[in-house]
Amino acid sequence: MAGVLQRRRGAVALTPPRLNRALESLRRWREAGVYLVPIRHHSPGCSRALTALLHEVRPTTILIEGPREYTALLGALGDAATRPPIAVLSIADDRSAFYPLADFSPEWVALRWGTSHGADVDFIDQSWAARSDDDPGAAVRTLQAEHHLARSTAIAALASQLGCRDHDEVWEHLFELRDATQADDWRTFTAEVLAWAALARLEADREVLDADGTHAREAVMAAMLARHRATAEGPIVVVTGAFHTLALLEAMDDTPEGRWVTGRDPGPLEVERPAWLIRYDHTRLDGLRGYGAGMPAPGFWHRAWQGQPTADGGRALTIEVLLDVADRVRADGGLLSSAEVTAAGEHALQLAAVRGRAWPGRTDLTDAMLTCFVHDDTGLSGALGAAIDTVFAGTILGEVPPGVAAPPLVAEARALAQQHRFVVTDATSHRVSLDTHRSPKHRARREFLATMRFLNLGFCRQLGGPDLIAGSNLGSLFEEWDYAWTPMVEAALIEASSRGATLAELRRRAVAELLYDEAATAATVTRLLTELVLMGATAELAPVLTALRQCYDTDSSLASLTASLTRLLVLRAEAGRYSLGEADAQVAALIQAGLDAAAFQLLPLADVDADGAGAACEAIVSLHSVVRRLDARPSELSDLDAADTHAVHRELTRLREARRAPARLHGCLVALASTTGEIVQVALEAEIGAHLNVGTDPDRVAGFLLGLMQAAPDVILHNPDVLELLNARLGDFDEEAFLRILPDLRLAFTWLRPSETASVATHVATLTGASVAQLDAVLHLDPALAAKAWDVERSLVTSLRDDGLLALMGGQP
Amino acid sequence: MTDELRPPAEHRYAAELAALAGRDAATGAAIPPGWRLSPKAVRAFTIGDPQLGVSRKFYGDDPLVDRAIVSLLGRQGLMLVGEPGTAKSMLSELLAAAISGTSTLTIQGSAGTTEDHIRYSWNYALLIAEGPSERALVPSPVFQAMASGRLVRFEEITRCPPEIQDTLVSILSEKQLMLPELGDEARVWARPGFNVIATANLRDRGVHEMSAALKRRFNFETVRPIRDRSFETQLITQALDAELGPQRPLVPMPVMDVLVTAFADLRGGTTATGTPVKRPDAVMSTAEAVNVAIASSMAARYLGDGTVHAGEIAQQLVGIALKGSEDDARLIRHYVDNVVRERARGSREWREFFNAAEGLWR
Repeated sequence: MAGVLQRRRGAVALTPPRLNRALESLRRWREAGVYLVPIRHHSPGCSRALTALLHEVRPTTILIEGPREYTALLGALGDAATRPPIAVLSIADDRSAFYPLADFSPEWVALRWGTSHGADVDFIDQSWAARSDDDPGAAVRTLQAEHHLARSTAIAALASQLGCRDHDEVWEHLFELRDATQADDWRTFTAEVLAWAALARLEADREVLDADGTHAREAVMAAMLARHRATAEGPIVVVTGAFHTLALLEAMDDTPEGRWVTGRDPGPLEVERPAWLIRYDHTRLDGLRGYGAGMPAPGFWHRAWQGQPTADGGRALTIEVLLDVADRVRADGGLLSSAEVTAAGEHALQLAAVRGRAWPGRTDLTDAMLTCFVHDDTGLSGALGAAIDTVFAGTILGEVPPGVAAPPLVAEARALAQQHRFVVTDATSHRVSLDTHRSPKHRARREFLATMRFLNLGFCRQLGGPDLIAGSNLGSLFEEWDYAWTPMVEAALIEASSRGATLAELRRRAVAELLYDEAATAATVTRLLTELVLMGATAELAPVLTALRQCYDTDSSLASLTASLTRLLVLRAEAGRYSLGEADAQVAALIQAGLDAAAFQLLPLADVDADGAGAACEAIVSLHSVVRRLDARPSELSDLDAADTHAVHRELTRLREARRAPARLHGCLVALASTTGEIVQVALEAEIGAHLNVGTDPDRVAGFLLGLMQAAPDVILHNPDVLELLNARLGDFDEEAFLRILPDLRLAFTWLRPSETASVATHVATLTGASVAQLDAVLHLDPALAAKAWDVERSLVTSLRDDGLLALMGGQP
Repeated sequence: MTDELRPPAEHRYAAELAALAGRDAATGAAIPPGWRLSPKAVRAFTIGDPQLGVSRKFYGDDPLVDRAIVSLLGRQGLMLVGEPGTAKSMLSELLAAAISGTSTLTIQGSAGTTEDHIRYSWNYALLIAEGPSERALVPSPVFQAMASGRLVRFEEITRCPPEIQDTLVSILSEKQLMLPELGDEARVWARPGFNVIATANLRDRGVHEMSAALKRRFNFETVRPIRDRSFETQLITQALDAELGPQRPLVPMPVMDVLVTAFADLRGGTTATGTPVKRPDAVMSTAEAVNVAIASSMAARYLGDGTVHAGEIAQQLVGIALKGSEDDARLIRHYVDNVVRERARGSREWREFFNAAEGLWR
């Protein structure tokens, strides 16, 4: 049995003694009627070998790696109406985990064979509640994590030796893409899977496995196996992750390493804890990959499991997948010819042959599509990338039998609402006023309300008081909310259960979805940050802060960047209403990154057209106010000493000096520069004079004035000379030119308050030699003429009504 | 010993090729028609096979090598694209040497490449003396590759005008070349083993577009730059020694590190710690890094104190950037604001770089 992996491309030359003993033990226990089946979760290759084994061995006992409490769900799992993909949901304290099963999962194959053949089926892993949390802060957890395999340096070395990209490809190469004879030879298959997992197992120190709870779990598995060995009357099949098989063998053989496991107290073996069977889908199964479980591309492996790729060297499967991808690309408006699809098919088959695989796998297909469908250097992106993702992830949704227990999210939300003294015994609307600045209890209540609002459950809304999301009413003390526990809230919670088992988990998922949304901008991510802070979820800020940092590098909209910066400043200024926790320092660093990003986006504004100039001015004005605020360093921002606004000032100057910029933008920048003293009065007047010079294009005059007024109306108000100049210049225009720019002029003066308008008007009147009174438009009307008109109107209406015509005219009959 | 500066791959690695051919013969591996080695042996030649003493020659992307070999088995040509300095030509040379036993059937594309270079031309003395004859015909590398069933390499295909590139379209689809001067039926046809490996640069300045018809006849593979910074440092040091001799001004390691890091950041679009960086349009290849190092060394020798400082690197880097567009200058300014300023807090070299770069904008 030495060098079991050597057969395929000369991979592993040395077999460690501990592995040699385990391989020998595997064979010996088999002869004694105990069949250990090491598997990788969601591996069709393992399922195929396991099926062959079950048909040959016909066990009376089947033991499966899964929490002890799942044994109570065997009825529902074995029900004919249950169709994978499904998942068992476990909840303990405030964390939950999924145990998903696809039709090609070995655990599913084993348990369905057992329930339909009358075998004694049992789940033998430690209860989820007793397990230590190996991935704190994860949005989703899976009970089938394979972190050790993913992190193994030996498997990584094997990957580089085999020319594979990662451990997933190594697995496919060695175990999935076999021909029929090899795939059904379960004796060799199980030995080789054991050897593969041992690469990672033998690297892991005892302390690591003690600390991450692996040994504790294996103690339970070993104890359960011992118990069944004592009572079973026929062959026993034990289906566990391959990483554990070595430990179970050593435990049965009572080797020194085996005692690391058997020497521990397994704790109570009879566990009664609730667990829930829920529908699942391939897309979410694929999503668990990020959390360390299972093989990528369940959609592809589902097809491989349903079809028989070994029968025709994978031809039918390859064509089916390629055509499906091509259909989706075409439906999306992409062009893929039949010749290209054919070429990709041939390419995939040849790649598999060159790589020594019996049929083309996931990577062969993606490689073939990369070669044959992409005619430049963009890779598998755009419509093609999306189509491949969809086809490989799969779209199938599972079924659970009617009548299975509803998930506990409803009860959790209800209990929390009561704990925070919200009325949930009636469905009427209630109003609360919360002093979040001073009362920690009120703050906790607000956190609950903010969570329910964020999850869109229709429970509550904020009516008034300081609104940090909108950035309004920041001066007021009390937050005003109303809420109602209606049946719709309960329905929304049941609906939401498929996305997450607890409110915290739903929130983490929603956050992850918002962050991965392609439309995410600096402004939307900062809004999300604010919402999380309001919800008191400071422990979950890290990914949002990271995403925001990335947005600063990808977001090209100055408006969005500025909105983000404004929100961050509000967040720092209002810090008395919540805790920013450890994120505080990072927010300060983000403000710096945001400033640099905003500085970077300034110069391209020189090329905006006249239509975009208004929005550009608006963004510049708000950026300027952010910068002024930081430069002034009010007390609540005093620790932002590091904030360096130099880059923004520098780029604002460059933009102001860029002569090609639209007049409105230029006016805006000149006005802003004058408010900070960056350009002195004389220079300001020179600038304005240059723009109001005789012969200047009227549109440019109007644009400049618009920008000036939008940024700082004071420039006009407090500079009589400027007003005189403007007045003189406007008087020079002929009527046609004046009428053309009149709408812009009107708009420009709307930035003045009524009293300011009056002051300007007075001054202009003085300049033109008119009196203020003359400027007021007064209509003089002869009262006799008005009375006559009224008489005519009345008789006309009477006549129309008499003729029944009034309704036709649109009046009241 | 040969006095050839750089012998072709089939000579440099003759022993390895022989060993691989020997193993093919011993194992009875299937060899495609016209090929000298089996596809697996070609793969081993490129990415190495320690058991047979075959060295690894191409680093970083083994699946790409698989795809390239499979492409050459089919009807489509192989187009290697990517930035300058990514070993596209070396890969094409290795594949040609392993598959056809020769890597010298090569067209070196340029703006001056004509149709004659791709099809055939004439020995005009003979043409005038004898009229059109096989003796007077001068076959191109493509012609020779077709007639002998070997691979032809077309380097820098996008440097040729599109109408010249398109000469390949009919050759690739019909796999024959008409010779009307030698009679109505005269033609040369491709024997098994014939195919084309082209290399191209899609983004550099001064390159031409490729027609859709030509693109359809090639499978594209993008060769990515090497991401190993210590390897790049080694390459630049070697180039400096070769260019300026051993008496060159000293480039202290921290300064070299600034150079390599700045280039890697701007080329890769991200720093080693994951901070995203906006990539300029200018080519930030290893070759450009060498240019910056040479120019900085010159400045240090003739204008400075004989040792290269990070400030000189910054000044020369700005030269590289400003050679491009105003947009590139803006991108590098942002890089200085966003990345360099932070580093300047903790490193003297980066501080020098920052100060020098700041002074260059106004």
